[in-house]
Amino acid sequence: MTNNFEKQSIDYPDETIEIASEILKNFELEESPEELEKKFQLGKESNIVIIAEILRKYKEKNLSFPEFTASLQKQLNISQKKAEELATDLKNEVLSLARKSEEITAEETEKPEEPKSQDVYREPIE
Amino acid sequence: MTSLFAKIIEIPMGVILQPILFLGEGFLGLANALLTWVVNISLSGDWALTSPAKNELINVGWTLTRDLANIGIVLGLVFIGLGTALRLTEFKTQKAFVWLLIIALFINFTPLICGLIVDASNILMKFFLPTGVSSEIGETFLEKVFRAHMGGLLEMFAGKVAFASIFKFLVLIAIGFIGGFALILFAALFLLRMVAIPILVILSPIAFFCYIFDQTKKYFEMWWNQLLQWSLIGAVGGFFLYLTHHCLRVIEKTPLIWQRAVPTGAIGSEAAVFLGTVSSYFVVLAFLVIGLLATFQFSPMGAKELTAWAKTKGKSALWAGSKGIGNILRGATIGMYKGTVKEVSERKGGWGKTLGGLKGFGMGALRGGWTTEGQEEGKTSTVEMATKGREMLEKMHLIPIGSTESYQQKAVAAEAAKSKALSTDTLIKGAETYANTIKGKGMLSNLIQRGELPSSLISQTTKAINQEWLPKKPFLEKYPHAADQLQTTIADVTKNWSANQFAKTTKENWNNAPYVLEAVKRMGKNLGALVRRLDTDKRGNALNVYNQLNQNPEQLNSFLDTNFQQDRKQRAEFIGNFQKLAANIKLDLAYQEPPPTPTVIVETGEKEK
Repeated sequence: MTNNFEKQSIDYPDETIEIASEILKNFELEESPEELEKKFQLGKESNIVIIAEILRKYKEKNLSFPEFTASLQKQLNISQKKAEELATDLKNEVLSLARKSEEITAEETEKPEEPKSQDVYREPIE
Repeated sequence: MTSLFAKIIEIPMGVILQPILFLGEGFLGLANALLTWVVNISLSGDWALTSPAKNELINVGWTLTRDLANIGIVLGLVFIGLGTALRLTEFKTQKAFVWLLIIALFINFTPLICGLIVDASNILMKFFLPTGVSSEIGETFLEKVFRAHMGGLLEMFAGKVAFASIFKFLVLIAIGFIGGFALILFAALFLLRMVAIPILVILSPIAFFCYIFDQTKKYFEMWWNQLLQWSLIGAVGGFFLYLTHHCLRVIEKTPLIWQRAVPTGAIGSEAAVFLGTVSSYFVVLAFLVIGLLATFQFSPMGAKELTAWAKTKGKSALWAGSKGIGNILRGATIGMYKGTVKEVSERKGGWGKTLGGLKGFGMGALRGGWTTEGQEEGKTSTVEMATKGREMLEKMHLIPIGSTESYQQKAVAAEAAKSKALSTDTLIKGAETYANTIKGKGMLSNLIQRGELPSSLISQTTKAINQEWLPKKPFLEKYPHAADQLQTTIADVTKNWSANQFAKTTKENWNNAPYVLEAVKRMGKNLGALVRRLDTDKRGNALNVYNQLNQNPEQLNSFLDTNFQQDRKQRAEFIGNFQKLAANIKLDLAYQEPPPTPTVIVETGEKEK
């Protein structure tokens, strides 16, 4: 059982970052190879790392949706409209995948109900 | 200078080896006396083996069992009568009746029947071992081998060549203990025979009675086999002692054949002369031991236990003894060598060098001979020497190629098994203390298996692997970041690895930039799967690597240049994946404050969670 003083970790499926990356691509926010290398040489983080960081904060600090949108707009330097649309997509397609570790444990331990087998000791009632 | 050096070696060697040599001689003498005594008693007839008239023990015991068997005969008659009346066919009563009558007659003559068999064997034994033969074997060894060569050895300060003296000591000690052990086992066998045969004679009426019924027949057969084997073993043992004695005579007549064959170049003339004289006695010794083993092949019950004892306890006692002495000698020799070399190399001046050498020699011998570390180093050096010998044999194709590697690793595996139960802390301390020994390498092996090898022991471990003491694969599966110390690369090691295999490596690997970069390169789009298999420590380490490389891209640039040269697309793809590694880790660091747990106020007014 989770201790009161422990923070609950949040687990994402393996492909989460790939999905986030795809969303960035749809919004034309994915860097070209040249941009990526340039950013790296300058010690700057790529958009996907920025997104991951914002998603983490959103979940961790229970940010409101407008705060989440504002964060995206500021960090990625995009318009408010684009930021809102991006936030909606991220919320629906990425954040919805998040599961608390307790939920996972419960799911793993819950066994699916086995179909009742026919009682061989009773004759069928006609 | 040579004689001074010889004296310096002879003094400590003499102190260690002389008492052992005396012990060996005493053991051989004792074994010889015991065998002579047992053979004389066996063949003198004073201790009758089968006759109740001449042996009071048999008289008392046999009379009792005969009377019991006679009671059994009467009861058997009643039983057969009842069986016939009640038609109990399973007991074959008619056949049993015939045998009952015959056995009733034989029971009174069982000592005579046993006597025929035992006497026949004793006649043969007496032929093979006429008076003096058994004692001559041991006496010849004592006279021609020991007393002839011990005199010179006891003059330790005669300035003789040290190697020859040590060689003589070791050969004589080996002859003393091996020969003594063989003679004692022969004596024990004959002594057991003198007890076993009377017991079998005492039990003979009961054994004969058992022959009547099918259900008890097996006990008669068991008894019969024992009687035959115990009788025969005397003749067989006598035969091999007889052969050994003749072998001695033949060798004494033609000593030159053996002496001429010894090469003088390798071991020096004095040792060669000694070996030439003594080598012939090795043949006799071999005859004695092989004869003993052949005699044991006829071993009946009791002798079988003696055989087992000889094979296990005797062997292990001899082995433990010789191993202990060997360890001390090895340790002392290695210690002397290392101590001398160390002191000589540290002191530059003429006298200082000599005094330093002497000090190192003495301290080294003491440390090597009497401290555990020194003895362990000695033991390790022996395996090292054996390894070098095996490598030569491998080159000559006399032993299978690659067998030397497994030979060394088997020695380490045996040591690892001894320290398997120790705690990790003890293993780490032990591996540091016994760094240059097999014991220490065994401890390293356990640490690798547990994945608890500290970074301070990595270079010591890779050194042991390079010297083929430890296998490479299990180490690299857990510590691939150390691949470059083993003439391989992380890329080669992790060529076909899955996310699981990457994740299984220890957390130290995730602090290592080349390893983390290689993992990113191999995993590509599957980085999410890899990150989710890492525990918190490993994720933290990997993120540290990412941050460091981001701040200082030199190392990453060199990795990109090596792996992708000027392929812009591949470079960018890799950088993208590297960023995704960080993104995956950062995303997974998310956590949430749990909702506050409600507090319940119970009736007493106390708060309870």
